[in-house]
Amino acid sequence: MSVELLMGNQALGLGALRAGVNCVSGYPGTPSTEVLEYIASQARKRDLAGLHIEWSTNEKIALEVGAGVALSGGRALVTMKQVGLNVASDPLMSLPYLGVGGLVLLVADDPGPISSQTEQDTRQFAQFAKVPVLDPSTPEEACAMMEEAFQLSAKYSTPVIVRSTTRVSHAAVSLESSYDYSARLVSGFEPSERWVIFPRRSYMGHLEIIERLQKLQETFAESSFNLIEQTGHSAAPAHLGLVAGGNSWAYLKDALQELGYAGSLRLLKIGTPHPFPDSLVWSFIKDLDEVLVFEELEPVIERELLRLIGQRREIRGNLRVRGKLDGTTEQAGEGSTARILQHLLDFLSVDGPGGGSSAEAGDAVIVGQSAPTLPIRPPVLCAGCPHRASFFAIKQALMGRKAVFSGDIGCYTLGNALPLDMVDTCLCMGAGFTIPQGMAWAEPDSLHLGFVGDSTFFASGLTGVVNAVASGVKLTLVVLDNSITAMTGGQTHVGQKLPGDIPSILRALGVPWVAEIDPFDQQAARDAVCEAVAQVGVSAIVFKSPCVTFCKSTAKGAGLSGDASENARAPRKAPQFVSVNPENCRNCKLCLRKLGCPALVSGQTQMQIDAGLCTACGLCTSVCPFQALEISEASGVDYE
Amino acid sequence: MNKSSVASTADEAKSVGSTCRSILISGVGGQGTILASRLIAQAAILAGWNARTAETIGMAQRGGSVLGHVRCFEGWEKAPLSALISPGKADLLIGFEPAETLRALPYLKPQGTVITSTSPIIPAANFFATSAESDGYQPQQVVDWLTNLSGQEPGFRLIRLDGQQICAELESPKVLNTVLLGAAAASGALGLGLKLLEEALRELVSSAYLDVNLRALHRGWEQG
Repeated sequence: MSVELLMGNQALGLGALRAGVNCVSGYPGTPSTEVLEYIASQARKRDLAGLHIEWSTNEKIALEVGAGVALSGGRALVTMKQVGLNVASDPLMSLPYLGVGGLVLLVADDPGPISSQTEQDTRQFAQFAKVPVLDPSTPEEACAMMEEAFQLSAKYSTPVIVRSTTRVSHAAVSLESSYDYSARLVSGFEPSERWVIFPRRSYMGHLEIIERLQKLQETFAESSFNLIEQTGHSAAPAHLGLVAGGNSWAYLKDALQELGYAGSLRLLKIGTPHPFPDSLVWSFIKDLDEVLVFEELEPVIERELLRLIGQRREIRGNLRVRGKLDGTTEQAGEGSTARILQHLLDFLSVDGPGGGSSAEAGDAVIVGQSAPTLPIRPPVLCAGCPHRASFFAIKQALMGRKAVFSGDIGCYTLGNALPLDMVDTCLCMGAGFTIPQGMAWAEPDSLHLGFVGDSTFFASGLTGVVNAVASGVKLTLVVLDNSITAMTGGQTHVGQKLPGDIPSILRALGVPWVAEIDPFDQQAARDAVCEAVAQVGVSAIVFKSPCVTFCKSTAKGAGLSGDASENARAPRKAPQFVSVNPENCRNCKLCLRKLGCPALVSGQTQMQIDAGLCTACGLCTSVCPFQALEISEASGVDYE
Repeated sequence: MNKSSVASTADEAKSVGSTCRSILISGVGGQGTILASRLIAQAAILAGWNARTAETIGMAQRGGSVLGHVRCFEGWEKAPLSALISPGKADLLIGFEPAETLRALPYLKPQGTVITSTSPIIPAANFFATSAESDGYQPQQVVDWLTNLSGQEPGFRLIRLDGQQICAELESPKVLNTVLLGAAAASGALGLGLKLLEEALRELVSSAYLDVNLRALHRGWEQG
């Protein structure tokens, strides 16, 4: 027995280890990343045999690798964030037709969103792809669901999705963390015509899917992941019902506790939103007058309730379903206990803790409307980030010229912020290389530059390069190569394990003009930009400089993720940092206004350097017209 | 506060009974708030409690406003299911930066405890802001406002620390989290004593930084 504080994503990894998973593949993406990282760290720590772990090139490849393991009779876990499932949707849509078991997808949704492009709902994707989905309410339930998902997948020969959300994946709980790992015995591939997806086979597969989902519906009606509870001491039957799925169940239970409501209520928890546990839900709903549904993202449960009521006619009175569809609850953004508490006051017609209709306690601390203004804090590129140097060089080189800068997904999206203001578009992985191709055809009198990072380059940039070369479009491809997947916390990517580097790959794909530059060499960087945009066809610049946060001296080329983040916490002795010469500094703040580096701190009489942040990259020293910033030797202070 | 009365019980975790102790941590991404919430949770586990935490991880870590929620409770009956603390429900607010302390203040329960560093972090964005609301962050005004509010009904206990000064004395810019935890332990509002936090530090912090963190913890304790 050992109780440990485990993050939801670690608990999910624990569940997979307990299920004897043989292969874990994925692509990093907040809030899903730590599932694979946890399993990798356990595999290293305990030297687990029979377990293959990889950060794949992208989510589609990760799922296909997992499918191969499952086809061979092994157990595979594939991890991604919700937008990653869009990339993996091609294999996902076909896999249930094949009827492959032993395959579990962990897909983390991001209500809010907090770190994503969309507020899409993977429960809907599961309905679309005709695969079962489990929706945990807490980290501990996530662990149990992951283990169960492997059982279900094997028993019903179908991929199973465990859908988590940010507040489950990134919450932590004290949890019994022991496990005995024994890799599932791989039975080996057994040839069958069912593995070859011809149209005739697909028709049969479709019929099998329908039968399978009917069976799963019956299984889910008995599942302990779904619950009916009765509150209150009243013997009178409840007429009001509350339904919640996923993390909203936790918020609902906490809100009821905060409210201290003693009346009679029926509660329904949905942990298996697809296929919907009809018979269980019917027994819950049939005698109620009104139900209110709490769920984040899409009204999945609410629509299923309406469908169920529409199908069955013997309902008493006029049962009303309230939620997102009738505008009762919020249709976008994150849920919370406070949000649900406020809805409960209206729904139950009761007073809040402080009296009146407000959910807030009556004697709470009131900050006051005339309180001092608080600074907004948008996320920024780190001090010493090479992307800042790359963006600044391009900005300087193309000053006054008409140009559009197409960005992509990664830390460098932050180049959008002032003062750099160098990212005009950002859509999805890989679009940084393809959107500018369309723009260049539509608007040939403008310069077009597209940015992708090194991990994105391999995930979905390569096909865009091929397209540009083939079409002969005039544009400049810029690879911001910091040798790591940084935004998600420093994971390795496939490009680091290839024999060829990015410039040689670009040349091999037929890009006629390729340069590799250290962005901190600002003169060379500006010269390269000017030369690149003067080319008649496709040109490419690789700005190569390691991530200042995650690539410490030994991190480069390290094995799986985790190595890098451990290195990030290793001792960092800065031999140098930038200092301000008080005689030269005129406190014009030009350095700050041009670069926006967080290590540059505005002082009363002169600029100051935050020595804890400064990495002595020296970019600011080249910006100051008065030579007030200079690189100095450190005073022996230890910068952790 | 009466230091001796706290010290006599501080090394034992105070029973939280069937209720739950809720601690909110607010700061700027990169200040070490995540380690702070992990240390509290670890100390709680060492005391035989259960804990839930939720931290901001991801994009906002890079210089954004971040919150860490920690809830400690005995047993599982009536335990909260979510780690997130509702407005007006935090027993203790540990603010790593004055503006972030004020921003998170609505989470504090009436007559709760606030421990805040008074050293500001002024975002570079402040210089490029065009909207009036982000213009002109005046840290001293924020500290004065907090001080003033603490004395008004319903009020709260406010403990202020000059984080930058203390870290400079400790010759490490990265130990603000353990300084504030030491002060939180001394205040009694954390419900966890020094020994538990020391033990949590030994489990979570690498040996190279253990010594300076232990010194920081004790330094905070003296300030609390």
